[in-house]
This record gives sequence, C-alpha cells and structure tokens, in this order.
Amino acid sequence: MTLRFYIFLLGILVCQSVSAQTTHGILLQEVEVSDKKLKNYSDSQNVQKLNDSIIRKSQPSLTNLLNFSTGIYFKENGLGMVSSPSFRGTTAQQTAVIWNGININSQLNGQTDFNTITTSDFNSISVRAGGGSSLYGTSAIGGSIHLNTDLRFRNEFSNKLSLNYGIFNTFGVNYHLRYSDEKISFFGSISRNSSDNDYEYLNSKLKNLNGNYFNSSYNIGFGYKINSRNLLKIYSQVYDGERHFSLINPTDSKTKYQDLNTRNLADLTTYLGDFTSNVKVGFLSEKYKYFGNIKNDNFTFGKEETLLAKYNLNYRFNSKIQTDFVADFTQNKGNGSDIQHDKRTISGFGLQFKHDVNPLISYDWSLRKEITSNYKSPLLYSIGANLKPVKFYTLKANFSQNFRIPTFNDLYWQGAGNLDLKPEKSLQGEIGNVFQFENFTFTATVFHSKIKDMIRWLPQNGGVFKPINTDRVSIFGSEISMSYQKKIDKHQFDFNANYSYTKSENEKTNKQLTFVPFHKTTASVAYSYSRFSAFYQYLFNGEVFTQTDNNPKKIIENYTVSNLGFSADLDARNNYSIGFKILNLWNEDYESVENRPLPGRNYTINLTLNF
Amino acid sequence: MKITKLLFLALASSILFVSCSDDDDNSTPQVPLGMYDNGVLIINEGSDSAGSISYASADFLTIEQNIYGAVNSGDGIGGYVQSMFFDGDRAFIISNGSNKITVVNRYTFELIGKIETGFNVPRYGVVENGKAYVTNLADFTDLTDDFVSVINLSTLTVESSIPVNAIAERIESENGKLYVANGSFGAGSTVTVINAATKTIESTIDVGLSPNSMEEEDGFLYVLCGNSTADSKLVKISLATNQKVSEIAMTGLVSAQNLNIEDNKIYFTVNSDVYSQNLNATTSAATPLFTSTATTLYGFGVEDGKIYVGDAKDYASDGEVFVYTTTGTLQKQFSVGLIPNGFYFND
Repeated sequence: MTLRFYIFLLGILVCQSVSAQTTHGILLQEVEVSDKKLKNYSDSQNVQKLNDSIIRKSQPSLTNLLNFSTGIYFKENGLGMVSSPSFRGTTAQQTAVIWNGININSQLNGQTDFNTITTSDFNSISVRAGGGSSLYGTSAIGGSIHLNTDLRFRNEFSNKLSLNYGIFNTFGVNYHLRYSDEKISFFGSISRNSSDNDYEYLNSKLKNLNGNYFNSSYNIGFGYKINSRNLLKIYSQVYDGERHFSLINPTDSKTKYQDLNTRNLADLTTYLGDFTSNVKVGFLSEKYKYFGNIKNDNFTFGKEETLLAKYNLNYRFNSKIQTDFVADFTQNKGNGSDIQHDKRTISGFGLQFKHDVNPLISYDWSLRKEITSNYKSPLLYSIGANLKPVKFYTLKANFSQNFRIPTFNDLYWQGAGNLDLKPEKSLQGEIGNVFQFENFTFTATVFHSKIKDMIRWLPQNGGVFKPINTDRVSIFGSEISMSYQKKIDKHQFDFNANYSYTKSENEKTNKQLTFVPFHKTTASVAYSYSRFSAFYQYLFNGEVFTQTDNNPKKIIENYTVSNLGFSADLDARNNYSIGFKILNLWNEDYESVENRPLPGRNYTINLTLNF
Repeated sequence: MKITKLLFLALASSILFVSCSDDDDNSTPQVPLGMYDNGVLIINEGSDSAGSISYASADFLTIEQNIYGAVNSGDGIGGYVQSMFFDGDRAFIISNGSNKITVVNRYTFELIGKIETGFNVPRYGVVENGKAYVTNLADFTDLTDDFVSVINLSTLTVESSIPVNAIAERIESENGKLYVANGSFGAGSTVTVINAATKTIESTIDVGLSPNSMEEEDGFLYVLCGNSTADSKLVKISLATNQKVSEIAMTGLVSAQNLNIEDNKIYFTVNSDVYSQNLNATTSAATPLFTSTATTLYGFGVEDGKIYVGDAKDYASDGEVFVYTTTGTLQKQFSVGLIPNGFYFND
C-alpha cells in the first residue's frame, strides 16, 4: 500500500514540476490542484505537505495530525474539546485555515477549532509557515493550513473503507470513493467519529466526565472538463458535531456545544492561450449552539453566512514569468443571541507576479488591498526570493505585511462590540536554508515578526469586557526540520523531525505570551517491509506560562508523548489491512490546559478495506 | 554588591522580626484561634479550574497565598470562587464555577466539609434562622430560574430551595427575612423579600435600576444600583416596613459599585475611584475621596479604618492588594492570586 502510494505521490510531484516548467497544455495535467496559489506563490516560504500515510497515522482531527508533525503548538481543553493553535508564537486567530483556496476561519471568533476538522476527509493537507495575507486574507500571520481536495483525471474507480475502534468506546469510520475518467473526476469522503471519552486521569481518582462527543462530516470534489478550454469544479463540505465539554471538577455544571459548518464552492477555469481565467462562487455557513446546562434546553447561539465571488486572471508572459490579477467580493451576514444582526461587505483586489529568472534564481511578489466600510485595511504584501546557487542548497527569503481583521464578535457583540477596531497588523521576515541531498533534506529557518494593534478583550469602565487594540508583540524564532528516506529492496525507512524555538513577547512588559512554548520538538520514524509497517511518533512540548505576568508557579509543565503503531496488509493486493496503535506509549501524565488532563496509554485498532 | 545587598536584607529582616516580637509582647494577651486569626482573608476568584484564598496578617508582616491548599494538602476549593460567609467559627467558601461550598474553620482553614449538591452557579450566602441561604444564578440566559438553596447547618446538606422568579445575586438578612438583590450585570431592578421560616416571597421592592451591592445598617437596607449607561443611585429601604424610604441620585456617576458601610460612612467605587459620604447624606459625593492605583479595581472592602482595594489587572496575572487609610493614603500593597474579588476579616 505504502509503496504504491509513494509511486503515485512521485507521479504527482513529477507531473507538477513538469507543468511548472512548460507553460502551455495545462489541460494535460492529470492532477488538478484546488489551490494554485499554494503551488505558484510559496517558493520563498516553507510548505510542508502531509501525505495520506501521515494523515492516517494521526486520527481523527487536525489537532492530532499537526501536533505530531509540525511545530504548531496546541492548547486543547481535554481530548477532542476546543483546540486552539499557536503557530510561530501567534494567537489562535492568527493562523488561517484554507479549504480549497478559501479562508474558512470562523467569522464569529476569527479562529478554527482544530478539533472540528476531520482530516481523513481531505486527500491533501499542507502547512505553509509564515505570512500569507496577500494571498489568503485575514489571519494568515503565523501561517496557514491548507485542506485540499485534489482531483485526478484518469480511469479510476476505487473505494476505501476504514474503521477505527479505541478504548473509551472511541469509534471512527471513514469511506472514500474515487471515480474518474479523462473528463470527469469525483472524490467523496464521509466520516463519523464518536467517543465516550471517559478516560481515567493518571495519578488521580477522577476521570474525564461529560467529555463525550460525536461528529459526522463529508467532503466532496467534482471536476468536469466541459471542453478543451473549460474546466468546472465543485467542492462541498459539511461538518456537524456535538461535544459535551468535559468537567474540571465533578460538581461543575454540565455543558455541551454543537457545531454545524457548511462550505460550498463552484469553480470555473477557462484556458485562453496565455490567459487562464478563473471564476469562483462560494457559500459558507457556520452555526454554533452552546448549552450552559444540559439539564435544560436553553442555549446561546451564533450563526454566520458568507457569500463570496472571486475572479482570477492569470497571464503567462512566457514560460518564466506569470502574473495574476484578483478581484473578489465577500459578504458576511451574522447574528446570534449576543450578536446584533449585521452584515459586512469586503471587496478585495490583488496582484501577483512570479519570475523564474533562471534555474538558479526566482522571485515573486504579491499585493492585496481590501476595502470595507467597517475598518481601514492596510496594504497587504509579500515579496520573496528563492536562490539555488548549488544543486544541494536553496536560500529562501520572504518579507510580508499581514493582518487579522476584527471578527463579528469583536465588532457586534451586544453591549461590548467595538466598531472602532482596527485590524491587527503584522510585519515579518524570514530566511530559510534548505539542504537537499539524495535521501536527506535539512531545513533551517529564522523568522522575526512584529504585530501591532493586537485585539484583546479587556475590562473597561464598569468591569465590562470590550475588545480594544492594544499590545504590540515581537516574535523571534527558528525552525529546524529534517527528513530522510531510504529504500532498500522491500525495506522502506522514513525519518522526520522538527524543532522550533519561539520567543513571543509583549513589547511593553517583555513577557512571553501565555500558551506559547519556547520549545517544541516532533519526530517520527516509519519502517515498512513488504506487507508490514511500523511507526513511532514523538512529541516534546516545552512548558508554557498561563499568566501574562509569567508567574513561574503558574505554568503548564513540559511533556513528552509518544505513539507506536503497526500495520499489516492481509493479502498481497492490499485489499485488507489491519493496524494497531498504542497512543501515549510511556503513559505520560500531561495536560495542555490547567486541570484538563489528557489520556494515559490507550489503544486503537484499525481495519482498512480497499475495493 | 550582591553580598552587601544580602547582608542588608538579613539585617533588615532581623529588625523586622525583633520589632514584630516586640509588638506581640505589648499587645493585649489574646490567644489566636488559628494561623489565620487576626488578619484579612482575600478571595482570588481564579479561573474555571481553581480559585484560592490569600491571607494577610493584621500588621501585614505575613502574607500567605493559597492557604486552603497549604493546610489541606493541595486540595482545591473549585473554580471561580465568588464569595464567603460565616457561621460562628466556620467559613463557607462558594465556588460558582464548580457548584460547591467548601466549609472550613475560619481561623485554621482546616476542612470541615463540602456541600456539592443542590447548587447551580451559587453566588452569595447568609446565615439566618439557624440555616444558611445561598443564592444561585442557575442558567445565565434565563433570568427567572434563579433560586436560593437552604442549607442545614448541622448536616451540611442542601435541604430545600426557594424559587426567586428573578435574578438572585446578593443576599442580606435581618429579623428572619432574606433580602435578595435581583440584579446582575446591569439587568434586573428589584429586591425580593423572603420569609426565611416559611420560605415564601413576602414582597418585591422596586429599586428602579439594577442592584449590585447592599448592606444593612441600623434598621435600614442600603442598596446601590447601577448599570453601564445610567447614573447610579442609592436606595434606602426600611426593614420595619420593607418600603423604600428614600433614594439619592448619583449624578454623573455611572457604574457605581461595591457599597460598604463602616463607621457611619458609606463607601463605594466608580472604576478606580473611591468615594465616601456620610450615612445620612441626602446628596451623593461629587468628587472621589481618592483614586486608587489599581488598573482594574475589582475587590473592595473597608474595615477598622482601612480601605482595601483588589486589583485584578488584566485578569490574567497575579492580582495586587492596596491598603489605604480612610483618607486615601496608601499604607501597604502586596501581591495575591488571580483576580482578587473580596475581603473578609478575622479579628
């Protein structure tokens, strides 16, 4: 299974790099990526692509996946509960989640809860470190996570059913269907996850009470080559889940939270010689209900609907120079029990340019300006270069201005919303070094960013919390990653490791931001022989402060968590495979939020059928 | 430099110790009832997972954090600790986040018992008629489901509850009657009078604006009312008739809070400003007594000629307590736990 996958992956990479060199005849491309900007305008930054085998190792949520494979830090209110990222020392609202090129962070609170994304629904997930607002808009400050549905145009019909069962009655099922020929391509995924989640706390008599959850989701991509000039793609995704929020003290009131998020996008690409025109129309909705006490039916809610239209015109001057012009229009309508009904309209214009000067040097830049009546938007820009003086070494440099816009809650919360808010602005630069040898890649990056006008909810006169533009934050950090692959006969060996150092300080107090660790390390080793494979994952999270005064007594202690997994194909054609995972192998007693312990050693069994 | 500093510190502390013991020798021979007698107890509201109690001795030479945890081997009193009330030697510590009351000896802080059922976001309590009465906000979105839990003081269990049919927040008692302020965050505008013995509502007094704090003094109930937009007002209710007898409009003072009556003076706060006026004044103080150095004045108390201000700062760092004379001279300041919200006195 893995071997076949690697061959396939290699196929994609070759295919893409070929098409990047030769401009015309894009329709010959067998794989249609859903987010072309990620491919075209990210050369001066680090993009980590998480392939299907990595996705399958860390189920079910985006938190599990990224926690063990990237430098992104997660603050998780207990297993499966609300999960907030900190990417390169930024806040949860400063990481953008992009679905098929569209920003899907909540318009209500500005962030994505990483436990409400079921990763097995996507066939490609990438992590782009550093600023991206000039391409993706709000929140792309620390970086962006790209959930893509790539479509293949070739004769194919395949089904995959994957079943997971773990202790605490944790059940997961995922089904993939692919159908494609040279004209039509369909990818569909449907998932269901549920758990009683009543694990016992280590070194305590208590257990995780009221932590049960269930969720269902699907993700669909459909592509149709109408004729040699026109390609239509339709994407749709729904996530519907309910979580009971686990208790800290057994006597706490029991609460629950329901999410319903829908995303729909139609995309028409027209190839006109050197021009490629692309029209996108999308409709997104989000809705939550919070039940403050599950004993009764009272709840508070928020909902928001987004309508967007986006036009992109790409022009290729020649095989080395291309430019894109973007015009888009977004309308958000939100209301809720605590939010006044309100509407926001944003128009955006963008210009991007990329030049491969010669095989050794390339550079790109992009500009974006948003216009809205609500607040003044800064000019968003990015400029980057990629130098490859010798075969094994690449130097990358990027400088950008990015922003995070005020959310619906910030602007319209009843009795607190502040219509005078400005967006948070970030200026940042980074330099990356990539050393690439036959089987070995080593990357070292340093970055520095300054963020001003941070939006924080602070108590105002009379004790009412209101959002205001306050602190400045200065972030300095470095990231080191390495990967090694080796294949000898039937033996395949993979090794990956990341280390990140992040100093993220409030400029006024010189204190580290809360819930930003100085150190984080991840590593994984995978080995496969013939039909058998095994992996080991390692995570080290350094201590974090929980108070802004960095009181050394108010910290979350560092922790080290490891997972071990085995899998075997039951037949030669890998129609059946069975896997077994031991999570938290060394039974570490740990938590990422005070008094919210995460589970000790636990087990999951997996069965996958391909037909 | 460092060594000299250390020497200085050693010297200074020895002087302090000496003067401390001198004081003890001179003071009237009163045997302390526990480690935390003769001092002030400060509630640190804390987070959803844990609040704490700090202690400062009357001379402020001893400041101790998390005294309950220290005495009871790391045990916790729950999250969002709201308030405390007393029954003789016993202190009842209310955690609204964890729906529980921890009962301790108020002088030693040794655990006596926990009351863990019968609450839904408990807020304030009083003892009357041989029982304890604790208000509960219940569901935040429902302003009519609030209730008062009735606690049997010998079994330490909730034996019944009294529906209030309005917000149930602050509570005072006098002559077998419970006075429940129906105000929270600017909502509500009445005070409910409950007969403690029959557990029935006797009357509802309209105060016109959200009551946020109140105190009984000389047969009258003084109720401070306000919200975030209107001028606040001080309503005086006769406990003999349960009727409003007068009210003082506090012109220009929005969000006045923290009513305290001490030595025939009324104290209250507006943001970081501390005001005082005579108990029998007919108009409100126009200028503050002083402006405290607190960034976020949160807890407030007046006792024995001292004004205590709890600074919650940004609600995400250790709080600070400032102690002033009643004329507003800063006497002492010290760090406490997360979000200091109230002062209680063991003397």
